[in-house]
Parts: sequence; C-alpha cells; structure tokens
Amino acid sequence: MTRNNGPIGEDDLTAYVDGELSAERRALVEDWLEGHPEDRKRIEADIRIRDRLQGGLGILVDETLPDRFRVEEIATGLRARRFTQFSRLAAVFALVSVGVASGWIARGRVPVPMAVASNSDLALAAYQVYVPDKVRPVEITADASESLGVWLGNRIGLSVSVPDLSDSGLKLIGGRLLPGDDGIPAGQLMYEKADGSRVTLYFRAAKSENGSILFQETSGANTLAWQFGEMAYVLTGESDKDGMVELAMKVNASAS
Amino acid sequence: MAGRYAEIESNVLHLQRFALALTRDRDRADDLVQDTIERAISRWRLRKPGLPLRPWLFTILRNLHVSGFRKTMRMREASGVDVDGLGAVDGTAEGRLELAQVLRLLAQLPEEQRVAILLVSVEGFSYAEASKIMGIPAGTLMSRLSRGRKRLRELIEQPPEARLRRVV
Repeated sequence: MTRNNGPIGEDDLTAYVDGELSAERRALVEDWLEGHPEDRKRIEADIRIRDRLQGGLGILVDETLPDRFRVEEIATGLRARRFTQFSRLAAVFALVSVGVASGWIARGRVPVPMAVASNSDLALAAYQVYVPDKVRPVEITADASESLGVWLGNRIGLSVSVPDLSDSGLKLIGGRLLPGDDGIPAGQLMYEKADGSRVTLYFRAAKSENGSILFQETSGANTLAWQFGEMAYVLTGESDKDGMVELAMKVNASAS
Repeated sequence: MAGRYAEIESNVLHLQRFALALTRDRDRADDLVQDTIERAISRWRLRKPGLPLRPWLFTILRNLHVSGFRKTMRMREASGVDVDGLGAVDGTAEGRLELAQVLRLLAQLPEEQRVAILLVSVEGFSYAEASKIMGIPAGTLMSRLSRGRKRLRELIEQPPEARLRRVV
C-alpha cells in the first residue's frame, strides 16, 4: 500500500494521516504538500477530525469496567447455562427406558433428527473399524494430548479440549481425524479401560441447534449422541445408558 | 483460565465503544459485547497462536453484528443518540455532550465507512489489522477511509449555508 515511486495520490494522503507510509514515501509526501496548500489544509482537517473523534469517544474507554462484563462471571454463566440445558434433557431422557426408547425409535414414533442419527451411525462405524485394531488404533497417540486437541480443533473448526476420563477408569489412547457426513471433518478420541474394553468419543461441529439426546443399542456397541455448545458428540462403547450419560457429563464439563 | 479472562477483560471497554458506535443503542451494544465475550471463551483454543487478541475480538464482534442484522433483519438503527440514551457514562457534562455529537456525526456515514474510520482512527488498528477485521482488501479499506473522511470534512468544516449553496 505504500508505493515508493510514482506520483502522490489519494492513497498517499489517506495513509499519511494514519502513519502508514514508509519513512521515504512520507518525506516525499511532505515535500509535495509544501507546494499544494489545498491538500495540506485537507490533511490538517483530517487530523483535527481524527483527534476530535478520539477525544469525544475517549471517555468510553476511561470508564471502569461494568460488573456485567466480568469475564470470569460470564464464563461461569455460560457453563451453568449449558449444563442446565443438558441436565434438563438428560433428566427427561432418563425417564424413557432403553428398550422402550429403541422400540419407539424403530417404529418411528419418536422423531429422530437425521443429523444426530447419522452421526451415531458414523461414530459406530468408526468404532467398529478402529477399536479392534491392536497395533494402530489411533492416528495420534495420547503422549501429546494438548497438541492432539489443538490439531483436531483446527481441523474441525471448533476448540477441542481432550476430556480426562480417568476418574471413570478410562485412559486416553489417542485420536484421529475422520470424515463426517457432507465431507465435514470429525474427530475421534479413543479411551481404554483396564480390562481392555474401549470407548470412543466422536465429535464434530454441530449443524444446527439441536438439543435432543439419543441412545441406541446395537449388537456391537451402544451409542449416545448429544450436542453441547457448538459441538455434536457421540460416545460409543459397551456401557449402559446411565454410564454413558455420566461420561457425557464429564465431556461437557471439560468442554466448558 | 484466569489469565485468559484478564486478557479478554482488558479489551472489553474498547469492544463496548465499538459496539456502541455500531449500534448506537446501549442495550444492543452491551448484548453484542456479551455475545462476543462468550464466543471468545468458547473458541479460545482456535486462536492462531501469536496473533494479538484485540483484532480477533473485534473480528468476532463485527461478524456477530453483521450476522445479527442478517438473522433478525433488524436493519432499523437508532437515528441519533441522545445524551441520556447513552446510559451511565462517566465524565463531565461537556464530555458527554461531545460524545453524543461525535456519535451523531459518525451516524451520518454509511456503515462501511463508519467502521473503517472507527477501526483505524479511533481504535488505532493498522491497515492490515483493520482490513482483516472487515474482511476486505487494504485498497478497499483505504478508499472507505478516504470517502468517509471527505464526508466528515464536509459535515464539520463547512458551515451549513456553504453546504446548502453547494447542493443548489
């Protein structure tokens, strides 16, 4: 934006006011202004106006920070709001017994949002492919769980924190990037219990605001799909519904 | 966590000022700032490391403002700002009056020129930062600055009669 040769033009005069010229170009503009009093006046006016804007609006940043914008409290509120949303859903969800729920879903009585259902399918498929692999179940190992989260987050376009589920006896093995539907990337984290059984957490940027929680049982494994904040999650493993919901709570806690 | 909150907090008044100049409505401005902070918290880890925080926060706020317009179609903007409408602003009566006048002046610019001038002249962002925040090339930014300043010169420096004569 600061050409160093060529005639002085409108861009130079604009950039001069904002101190965006190279020293060399700036000197040229100053020389030129000596011979162009009209433009000199205009520059002086621009600077006067800028100073007035800065002065007039300055009192807004000299204030003390309003209590409403204590960031710590906003973060707490955000966390609490998400938790309430999820807990309310989880409570309703817990009332429906597993067998009945899957029966109803099979008969189409419970409307199942397509996005959630298809995430569950993809998560289950990925679980079935990678969990039995003893040699290389993950693409990136847990040694660098910090960079694993950063890498997956960059790829899926949302911030990812790798949940610590060691309280539930689950040790992180690592993770990988997966194709979601529509070619949108998804992530998979894999955890292992002492007995060798494994649990995966599949996640991707949610397509729309969708509060439903969906538990499905198959002969291979069970899936729990839900959404928290801007992320859609699917847990896949052998735990029952209550065990899955408990893990989901921990995932939410680490995400907020 | 505490460090990142403090970092965000040190930018809040600047965000609030920008939001107020965009919306000219204290309540809407405050909602915009609140949404910006929430988004910054939940997307914190997506920040490119090493990039300064303030331009990132301004980008979030600007995008929320633009998408808020699109979503709610609330294109209506307050036509002016009266001193009382600013809510609790510290400062002397003169200071508050001058603030209202400056906001009124800026309100007479098209939005794209107003934003360019706020970012560069008031917040002191470089051309590179401001054009990134607005998602436009530097050349476009400069022409918006140039046109906006021309308009401000006309509004401020020319007495009303002179402007009238020019129109006729």
